[in-house]
Amino acid sequence: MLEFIKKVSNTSVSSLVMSNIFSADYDDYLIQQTAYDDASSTNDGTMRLLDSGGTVITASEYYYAGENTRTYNNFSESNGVGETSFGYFGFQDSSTTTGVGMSMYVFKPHESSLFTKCIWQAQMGGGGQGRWYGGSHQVAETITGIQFDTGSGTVDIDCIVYGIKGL
Amino acid sequence: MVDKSNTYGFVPSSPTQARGSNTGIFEVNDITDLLLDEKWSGEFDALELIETRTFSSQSTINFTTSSITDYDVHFFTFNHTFGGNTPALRVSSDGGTSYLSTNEYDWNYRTMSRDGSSGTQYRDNGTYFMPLSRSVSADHGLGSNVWIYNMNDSYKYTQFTIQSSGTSTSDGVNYYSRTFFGNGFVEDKAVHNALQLLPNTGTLSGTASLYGLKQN
Repeated sequence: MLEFIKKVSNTSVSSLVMSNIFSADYDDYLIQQTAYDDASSTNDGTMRLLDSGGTVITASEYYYAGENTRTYNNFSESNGVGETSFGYFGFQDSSTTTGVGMSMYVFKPHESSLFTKCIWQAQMGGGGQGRWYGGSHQVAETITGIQFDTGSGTVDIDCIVYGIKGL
Repeated sequence: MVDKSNTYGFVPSSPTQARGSNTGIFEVNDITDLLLDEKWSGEFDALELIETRTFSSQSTINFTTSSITDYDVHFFTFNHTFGGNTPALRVSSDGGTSYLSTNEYDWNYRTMSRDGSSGTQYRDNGTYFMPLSRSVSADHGLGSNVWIYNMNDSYKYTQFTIQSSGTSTSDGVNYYSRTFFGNGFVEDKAVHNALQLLPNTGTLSGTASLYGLKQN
């Protein structure tokens, strides 16, 4: 079953921090986003993890690969090796409000002996961009939260967190 | 003695009742009322079933339950037992009286098949939201799940992502695993309060369920 944990919405921000959302109460999580709008400039967002002390992890520990699908152009594959964040999250054109749809599964973030794995799929912006990605934070440690960053400018953004629990 | 002077009839008479903070002595009907008002403590599944439909040889399957607008995010599952046609989705902004059927659906998807053919990419603007891939025989059905976002927001487009698993065959003898994933949006900023499953031609047989995700 899915159990609602937290929802945060904010406007005109360059990042959104979701602290203390992962705990021993759940093994795995579903993270959703329905807004990444009204960007002050066109941007392609990223996501980072928070360690056990709530500090954003900025080291070169993020690995990911996936595909960007588009309604208006050919698809493209992309990957990151030893990056300082997971790439290809929010995307929005400047001054545009369309809403987005993103679902990300996060696996065992609270388990200190494992790498934290994520897979995310999204429909971004009004231009019809899709995101189909998987990633791994390649250091075994307890993860307690996430942070979305725009990389450039501000957006209106939200985030909804669910815990996945067996019956 | 149970005090019936308050809304739910519990003792004491006027504590504030909320999830995670229930106080008093409750009768069964009190708990039922509090559950309906989402004020009863406990573990609740945030994924709530809106409607399940089982159908055979139908040309359209409509989901028009009024509770569709209780949610901002929906989850749709579809099991297509048989049909050489291709299922698709449409939305309505008038409760299902009519469904948007102009070229307001922008979508793209990729298919991959175990038969050795290379992955293919498609993109289009059409009168329904992308085909959900197709089943090719009665015992090689199709399983799909779809996330639907912002149906209930008149300031945003309704957005979709979809994944399907099915099979392909060219001779009706050898069947190969086929994977499908795609995404799109409806170029219509309005509250969409009904969903239609339909084939590109002919009819559909199978089962489909629509769920809503609570955000509190």
